[in-house]
Amino acid sequence: MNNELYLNPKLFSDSENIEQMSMLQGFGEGLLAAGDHDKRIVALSADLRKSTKVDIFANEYPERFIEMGIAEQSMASVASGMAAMGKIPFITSYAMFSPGRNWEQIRTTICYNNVPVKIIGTHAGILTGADGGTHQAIEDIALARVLPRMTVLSPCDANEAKSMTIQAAQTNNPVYIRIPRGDTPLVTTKETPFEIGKAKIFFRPDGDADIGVIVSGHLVYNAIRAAKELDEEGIRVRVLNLSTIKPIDIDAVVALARQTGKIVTVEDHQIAGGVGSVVAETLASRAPALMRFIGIQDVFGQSGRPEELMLYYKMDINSIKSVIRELYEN
Amino acid sequence: MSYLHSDKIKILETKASEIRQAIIDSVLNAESGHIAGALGMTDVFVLLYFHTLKHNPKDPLWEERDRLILSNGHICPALYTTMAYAGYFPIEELKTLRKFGSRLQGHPHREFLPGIETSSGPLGSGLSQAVGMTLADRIDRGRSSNRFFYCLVGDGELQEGQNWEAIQMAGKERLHNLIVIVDRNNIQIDGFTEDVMPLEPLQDKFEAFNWHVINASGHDFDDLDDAIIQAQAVFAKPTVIIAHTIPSKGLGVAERDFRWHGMPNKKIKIEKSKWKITI
Repeated sequence: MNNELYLNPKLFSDSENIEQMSMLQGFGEGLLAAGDHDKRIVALSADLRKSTKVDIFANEYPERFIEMGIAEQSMASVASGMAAMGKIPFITSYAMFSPGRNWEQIRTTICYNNVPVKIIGTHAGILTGADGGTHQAIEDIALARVLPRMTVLSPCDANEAKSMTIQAAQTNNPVYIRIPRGDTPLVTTKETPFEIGKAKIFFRPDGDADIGVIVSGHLVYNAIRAAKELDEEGIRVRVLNLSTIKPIDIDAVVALARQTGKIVTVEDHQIAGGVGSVVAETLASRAPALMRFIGIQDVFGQSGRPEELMLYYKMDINSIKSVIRELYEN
Repeated sequence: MSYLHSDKIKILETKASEIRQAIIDSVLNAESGHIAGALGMTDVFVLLYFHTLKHNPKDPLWEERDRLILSNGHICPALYTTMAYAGYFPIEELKTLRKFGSRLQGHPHREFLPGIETSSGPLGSGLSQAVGMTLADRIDRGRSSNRFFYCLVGDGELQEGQNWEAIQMAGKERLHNLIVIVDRNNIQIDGFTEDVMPLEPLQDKFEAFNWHVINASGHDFDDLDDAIIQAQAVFAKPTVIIAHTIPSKGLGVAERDFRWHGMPNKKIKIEKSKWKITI
């Protein structure tokens, strides 16, 4: 493990009993903390104040909270107008609807206008679970990253979601943060440093690594467990937490590819346009590596418990291990 | 009741006539652009920039200014030309409309030209932005703020659903500093609005969303000015002025013809001498 990062010690000693917390809670606390310091911050909700956890801010600062009703398109543009008047608006909804339904409004009225609106897309990925495929946003990274000026962030746990929200509030450009539903393992601690644009190695076995894993979001936990178990088999895997998807940390990604020559990407998102694509685009002209892509393979999601879905879509620890093993033997 | 002095009206009429010809010239020079809406709304732009708006062309970002949000960005030749005549930039620059490197983009871009409040073109999102600006103003200055937010929208544009999300919100929030002016010229690209997708009864629709509605002539400065003053006075609701306009107003060969929404088809041959404003 990387000691400088103050990761959760249980990750390496007792990983099956690690604490769980909702990343939405991390976002909600982060927004409140940002709002305490900066009165320009306002929050908008499209009839989802509780399930997005924007209610933590709304309860404290009702005069800076705007209830839009179920109107995500207008929400994006209303936020643009507020930003033009000097506000720093956070718009909150499910990722399927924002940036899903309101993509053109985000493109034209936020990014083309170049105003600092922060887009919080919750219930991203298949962890959304029982609600089924309609509500599982697995295309949102692709939608957000093609927009000039947009920063795209994907936290690995609640602590990172909180740090990320606080830092996103301080930038002058549009930011998209994708957040899954439900409790996920706490990979980091409150002491773990976070900086937009920097990717950190979260798991590093002794000596040179054979394989590099580049992972974003809640699957960082599964990736670290897979790497740890493979270490015991003699396959040495480094795990890079790509919490900033755009702008990508070119140096960190290239260094890992140069060192290992073999890269596996892991994401709870479509392979097309997501983390795998970003990494492949980055490496192709700089440090071409043999790659494998773990993620959703051009299909829609469906109802189920998160662990059932992770198994079915091959994002569970054993599936990650077998992909790494196959690449190791290649 | 009339607030405008007849001398002032004469000045505005002369200005409007000059600006209309300059719009024609700039669009001809660009060899593309939208004529009908620009000429139809010229009188509205002239009244706003030469009489109504609190603004300073030499300090386009002056905090105390009223905001003018153009939602139907395609009629920007009227916006640019009026701004040039009001002193925002040299009239000469109108020749660069739609050319490479120009500040006068085919559809307005906020960052290219100071004084443009928002980038627009894709229809239906200007009104939401105006609602957001008015809301932010209310958070900062309360309900007695004396900044007004004028949002110009096309009539065909009201077929976009997002407008009605914004209209319901402005009604809910009682945004009395928001004044919307609809360019009711009855045409859109594919034909007359009432054939393509009817908007009527437009007044009833706005009223059902808790708006104050005023009908006005889009070419009568007195009538328009009265409507704006009334809109500024209404406190309980946002106001929409349905400005009844003649598309391509002043260009005899094109008036009321929906085919002139954009540049006329190359097959419609017009003699050079006919590209003249006749009012």
